[in-house]
Amino acid sequence: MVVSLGLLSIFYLVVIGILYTTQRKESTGSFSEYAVGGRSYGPWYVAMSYVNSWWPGSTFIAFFGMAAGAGIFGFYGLAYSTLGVGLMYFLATRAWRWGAAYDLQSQPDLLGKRFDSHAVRVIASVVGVIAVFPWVVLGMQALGELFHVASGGTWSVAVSLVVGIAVIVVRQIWTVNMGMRGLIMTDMFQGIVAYGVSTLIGVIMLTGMGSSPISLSTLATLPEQFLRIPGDGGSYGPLYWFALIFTGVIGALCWPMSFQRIYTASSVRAVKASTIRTMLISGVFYTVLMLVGMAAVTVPEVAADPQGGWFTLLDQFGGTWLTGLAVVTVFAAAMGHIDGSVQVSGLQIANDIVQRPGKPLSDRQLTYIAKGSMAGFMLLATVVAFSTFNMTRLQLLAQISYQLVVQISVPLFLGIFWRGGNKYGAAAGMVFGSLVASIMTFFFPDDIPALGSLTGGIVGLAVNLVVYLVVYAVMGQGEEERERVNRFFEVAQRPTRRIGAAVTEPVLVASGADELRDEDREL
Amino acid sequence: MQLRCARSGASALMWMDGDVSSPPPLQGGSDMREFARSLTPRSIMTGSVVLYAVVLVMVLFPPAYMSVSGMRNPVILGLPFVVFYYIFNAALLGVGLTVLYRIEDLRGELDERRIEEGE
Repeated sequence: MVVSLGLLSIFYLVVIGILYTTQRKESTGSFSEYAVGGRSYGPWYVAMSYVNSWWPGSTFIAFFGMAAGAGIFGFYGLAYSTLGVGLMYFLATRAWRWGAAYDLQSQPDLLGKRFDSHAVRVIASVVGVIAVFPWVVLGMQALGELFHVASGGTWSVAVSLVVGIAVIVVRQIWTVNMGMRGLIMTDMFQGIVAYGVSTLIGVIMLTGMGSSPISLSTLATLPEQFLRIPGDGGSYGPLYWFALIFTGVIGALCWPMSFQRIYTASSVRAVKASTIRTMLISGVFYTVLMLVGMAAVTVPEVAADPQGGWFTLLDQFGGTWLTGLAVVTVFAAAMGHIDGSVQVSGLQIANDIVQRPGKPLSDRQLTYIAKGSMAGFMLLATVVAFSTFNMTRLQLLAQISYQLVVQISVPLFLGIFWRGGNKYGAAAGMVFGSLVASIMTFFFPDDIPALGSLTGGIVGLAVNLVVYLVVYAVMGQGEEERERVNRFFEVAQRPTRRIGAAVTEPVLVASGADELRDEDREL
Repeated sequence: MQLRCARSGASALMWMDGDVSSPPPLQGGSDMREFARSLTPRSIMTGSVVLYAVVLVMVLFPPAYMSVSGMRNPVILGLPFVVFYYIFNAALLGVGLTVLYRIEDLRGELDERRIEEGE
């Protein structure tokens, strides 16, 4: 108990120390500085921040449990995360240039600009914030469980919950005060601890070194049931695997935290370089974690409680000290995810929901509202975390939220890569898609057997897409709208400079870009 | 001691902080550079899309993933084939995008200033 809580305290103090030392005494006061760190971060910072927002603390519990309990099932996370993160590479140039040209702060901000619609912006923002909320609540509750483990079971679950929530609430003081800058600086340290240390421990255990309870050699002799993909026999249909991965891939950039990383980057180069680094960090970490989980299926204590397998293995391998380290890695990942979620929710509430077209708020007003929204969001999450502890239905809300957030993908991806569509189709598609996805997931939380085990989110997406296309086919685009969209896309085809944190007009230096293209054609 | 870029003198820390938004392109052999510049934008885009689509199909197309379900042999690098299959796909996309990044870098397409100046 003393070791685990001691290590947690040291880790926490280092995080607070980083925040103190990196806090700028003089701020530019601009909202862009607060919301996206003035678009000033290089690829390593962006990548680590992305990984932090991607893999929460529950990765070590729920995903690890999948590998330890069901084998290859856990690898769906590798498939969707690689393809999902990789997608960012392809939209990096457009998304970053639009962001820099129009001083966009968030994903709904981009959608609002693309469709010239405040309604689209508000709907996307509301869907994003609602989808994030259950995960913050679950993350806070998981911290309670974590402190229960750290105390060696001597603290009651209620006391552990109070401590866990208090710790994360105190951390948010800096998230609220510093905005994105406070997040990015600690994400690097938290990420190294959460993903770097755990990967190192995992690799050492897989070599079978010392008293490691597992070994990589176990994998070659695993029973066949652990190598079968869900849908290949069993209760799931053949489309379940497809539905899980597909939802994850397109959902990757629908999560507000993920898209936000594009706007924290200093350049197109930084976005693309950070995408590759994210794939590397995320891929190596997750692969090792899953291999450790699969190798542990033969450990009786892990088989009895797969979700607690990470702690069990490290306890068997290194006793109290490694158990303490296991707790710290999970705590670091959980903290990084909650920080990012709170920050982006406050930002979107201020920037995309409260702010009205024609009545722009000043940077100071936006910052105050964002801070207040973050505090309110955290307060509400705290109340819900306390009042719904041990409620299984909250898990259902988290499932619904995932099926919900992917509904942003239709206007997001079609809006970025295609000049068609209009604001009515975008808004109606998201609304109908969200409704269908929520209702279907409520009645079929896991899969829909009659549809080959597709999920409610996929059905919602189909409705969403049909509505988007039908409304466009019926209503079309007016001449004025078509010209506006063409101008919007032209901005993304030309280099755009970031000039400080101020709003910058797109640098329409057609000659440079066009000459390059001409040169390419000649070559 | 601070690491510094040999060509520009920019510190590594500055680049991480994003203060240097346009570091010099990666050093590449002249053959590699010539090859990168000889590609047309269309061929680069086609190659990228094909790469992404191939991985997407291998992972998402039901007949593809069902065909490897439960496969233990051949065991590759100590891993049952189905496990290797998913790691390979992830690695393929990662390596493919890294090559794409390298090509774009050699062509000077990653930095707004260079494109703007038509370097």
